[in-house]
Amino acid sequence: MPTTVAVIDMGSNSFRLQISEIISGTYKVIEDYKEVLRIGDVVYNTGGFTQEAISRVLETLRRMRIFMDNNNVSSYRLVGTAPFRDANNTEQLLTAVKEATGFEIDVISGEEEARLIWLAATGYFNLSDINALFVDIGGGSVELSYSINGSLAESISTPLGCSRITYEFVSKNKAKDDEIKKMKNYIFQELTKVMAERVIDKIVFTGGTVNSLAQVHARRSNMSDSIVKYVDTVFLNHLVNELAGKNYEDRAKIPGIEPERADMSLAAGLIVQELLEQYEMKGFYTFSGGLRNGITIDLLNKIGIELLFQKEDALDVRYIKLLETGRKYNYEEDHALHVTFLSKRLFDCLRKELDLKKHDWLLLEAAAILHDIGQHISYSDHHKHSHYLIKNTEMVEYSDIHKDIVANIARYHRRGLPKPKHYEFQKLSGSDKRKVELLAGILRIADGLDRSHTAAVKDIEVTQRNKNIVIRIFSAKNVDMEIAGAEKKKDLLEAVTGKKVIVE
Amino acid sequence: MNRIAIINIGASAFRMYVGEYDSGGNERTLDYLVKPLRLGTDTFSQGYISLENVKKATEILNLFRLKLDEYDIKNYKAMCTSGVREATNRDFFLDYTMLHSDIKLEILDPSDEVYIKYLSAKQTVNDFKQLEKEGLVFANVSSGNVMLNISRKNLTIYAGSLPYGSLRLRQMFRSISHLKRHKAIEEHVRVMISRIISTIDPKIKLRHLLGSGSSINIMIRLFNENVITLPQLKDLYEVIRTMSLAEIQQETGLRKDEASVLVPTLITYIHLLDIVGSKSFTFSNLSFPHIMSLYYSGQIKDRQVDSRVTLTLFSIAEKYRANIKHAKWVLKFARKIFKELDDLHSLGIKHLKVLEASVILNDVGYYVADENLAGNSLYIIRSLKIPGADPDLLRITSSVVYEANRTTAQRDLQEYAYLSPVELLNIKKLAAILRLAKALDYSHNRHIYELDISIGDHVIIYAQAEKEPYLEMYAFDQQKQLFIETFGVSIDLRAKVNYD
Repeated sequence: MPTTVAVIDMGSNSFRLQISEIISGTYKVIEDYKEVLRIGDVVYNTGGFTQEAISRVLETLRRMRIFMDNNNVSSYRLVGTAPFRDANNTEQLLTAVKEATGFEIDVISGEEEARLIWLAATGYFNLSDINALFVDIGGGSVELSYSINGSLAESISTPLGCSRITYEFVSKNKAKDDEIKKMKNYIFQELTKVMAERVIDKIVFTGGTVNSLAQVHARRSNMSDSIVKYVDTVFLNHLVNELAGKNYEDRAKIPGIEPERADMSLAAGLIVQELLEQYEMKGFYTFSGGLRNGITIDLLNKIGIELLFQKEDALDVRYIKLLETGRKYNYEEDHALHVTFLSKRLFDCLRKELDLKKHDWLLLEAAAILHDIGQHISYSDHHKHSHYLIKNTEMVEYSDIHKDIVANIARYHRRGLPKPKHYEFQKLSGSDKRKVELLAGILRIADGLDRSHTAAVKDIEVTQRNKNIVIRIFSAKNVDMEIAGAEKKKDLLEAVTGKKVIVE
Repeated sequence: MNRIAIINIGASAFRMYVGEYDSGGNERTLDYLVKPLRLGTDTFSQGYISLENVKKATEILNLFRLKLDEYDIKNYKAMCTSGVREATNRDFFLDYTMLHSDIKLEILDPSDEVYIKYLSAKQTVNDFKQLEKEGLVFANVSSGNVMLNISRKNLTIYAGSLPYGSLRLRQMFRSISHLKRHKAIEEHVRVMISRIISTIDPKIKLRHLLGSGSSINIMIRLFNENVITLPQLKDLYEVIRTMSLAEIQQETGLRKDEASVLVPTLITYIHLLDIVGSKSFTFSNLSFPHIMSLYYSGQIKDRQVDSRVTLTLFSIAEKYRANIKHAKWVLKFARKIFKELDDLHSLGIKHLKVLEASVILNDVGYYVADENLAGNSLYIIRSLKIPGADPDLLRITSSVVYEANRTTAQRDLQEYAYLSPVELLNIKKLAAILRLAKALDYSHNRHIYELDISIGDHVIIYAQAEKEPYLEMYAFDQQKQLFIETFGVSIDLRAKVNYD
């Protein structure tokens, strides 16, 4: 039986229950349940939890308990954030919860909240060589965390929550120009007090309302609904203007905006806008589930479970996530990694000749690791299944377009070559199509060179001879099958380069 | 007398069977023709069938056309397997042969092919039931493919076709000297079979191997026995594995085409026996055209198909980590709602089967990602092949699951444009019922255990529960809209908690 843990993130707007199963150094969310309570509205209007609000909290937690019991949760943690910190009768609520449900709630500081979000982000972003700023925009507060070369340098909390400032500055359901101006000034002043003077390479926002803004961008750009999203500053500026001109009802009609967050969306947009301007950023990332993933990782660490990407000898997060995806689909890891090794050899030797960029390796590497995952669905057509699964998998540091390219490279690791009727290939840009053909051409040969799945080909040397590409195999074993495999699968590289590939 | 002709276009030969059946099901073979033509040599080496062979195929089909006329047969089936199925110019092949021989060829799907063969073995091999109960690998080893149907206790664990039939292997490694070729083939067969076996739960024990396919003729000619043992196979393999084609012919007395595929055939059987841990195997030696004649004339039937399909659906759901207890509970509610509201939905048994499959497979998409359950479940269900299942079952099921889970932002499926309004309506009806049934166990905790349904101006579901079904009430309210929009009648859930 895998270990199952649950966390409940109790914020200003909603309570989120997340139940996860721990499998071989990673966790998989098996239940994600949300109820929008907006207790922040109550706390910031009245100063504390009303009796009605307490009843709603108890009811919600009782419902969440059912999910937890049903999933045989062995460890759990409930975390209360801004409204719990700010209410004048938090103790009363905690006692009521304890008596009614047996749950104990940890009310965490803004700094701890920021640390937990950063902890979650380390599982999604490669932070080792960059300076990154993580900003969690909640209903009641904003938490800023500065990550310097992969370490958390400082966390600061400021009472700039989007619910709080909406109530403070906007009198009706459509913000007036002077109200927006005042709100912007206030945001500027508050942020200036706490912002560190640093060069920032990457800025990542979390929180339901800012995710909602990124969702608008994803919808309008016809992008997939991924955990990590990127939004450019130009789009954000247009969106903020659009929100400013609409009342709450009309904002709620914008595809992507959650109706419950429509009122606060402008305030969140203004906070994002200000930080982007201050740090001169061309765009920002969002990632959903930040706090609850952070609480989950923290809880696992506390019960002695270290996740794969946290281990001291861990490779970068991007790479670890690729391995995790492969394991999830029960891939043959030795074969996948040997094909990756052979692909790298071919890539390094042919890169200049094929006019590929150094970073194109990251595309080929992902495709090489994941090329066979489609076998989990079925062996026949598994290259097509790999394409689908890669497209629908969360991949750290790969944009939607990158994922499309990786999925297509894996798609063409066997069987037919790209054809005019292949929509998923044809929708790529001309240069991306070329990239797919070249990289898939390499992957096909690398896969052929491990036909027996025994790593019989120890190494290869690739040279150019009389305008031919010559692959020399080093092995102490019988490699007839590998030679036959490479011969069979050299077709794409030959077609796309116009050169003969000789395997010897 | 019911007269039937079956034409089978295989990778190595064209075969025609002409037979007749009386009303008691007694069969009489009228004619059996075999014309060797290795279409597979083209397909497996260059990917397409050469024009020369297309024309040769047409000549053979013209001979078969004469036979059809001679026996005055209008009722025929002409099925192509891997040699044509996998050729890139298969459409041209079908079109050309049709225009020049007036015989309409069809492509047989690999899962249907293995199913028909499995079914015939089931009815013609002694002790089949017992073998299957204990764990059976049914292997059809032919020129183009090795087809496996792995079953135990009426559960199909795996059914599929692997591209390593004996002729294909021979073509694949033709450039390697005969002195070493067997090593490459051994490796390849090991890898392919291991891939399949690795997808099967190790707790499932397999004990028996049953052979079938064109390879069986070679086995019979070599050993002349009904049971073939592992030592027999290994001894022969040791002798011939490094021999040239001529030497194998001389040693075994086989025809050239048979001798050329002997090494891969022996390797395949030896490896399969190793996998099941058995020292011998038996076989079904009916020719494929003969099997098809039995199948298409209705002489062999799968009487347990429904229960086998259901078991297989559950095993698929388990593979994708769906909660089986929850699925079974929802199934109970879905059946109940379907039965009680039959006057409202007017759907029949076929659609009940679709509803059941939809319940069982609803959550498979969660395995891919938490987002886009509708799309991911749709994709997985469409990729499934279940031998013997009604071809419409999985197609409609995938649409029902999509409709039941799609968010407002998700678009209509493209194929909706081609469905009739009635078909579309049926999908919506089933999706509406599925939504309600899922809501009734939203907590996955089986709080609600019994339903009564009252139908008047509006529908009321009276639920008896062990505990307060908070989540179920909440979810039901969220999910009932599709039901109201589809049937134009309101629906409510009223729960009574029995604290006893």
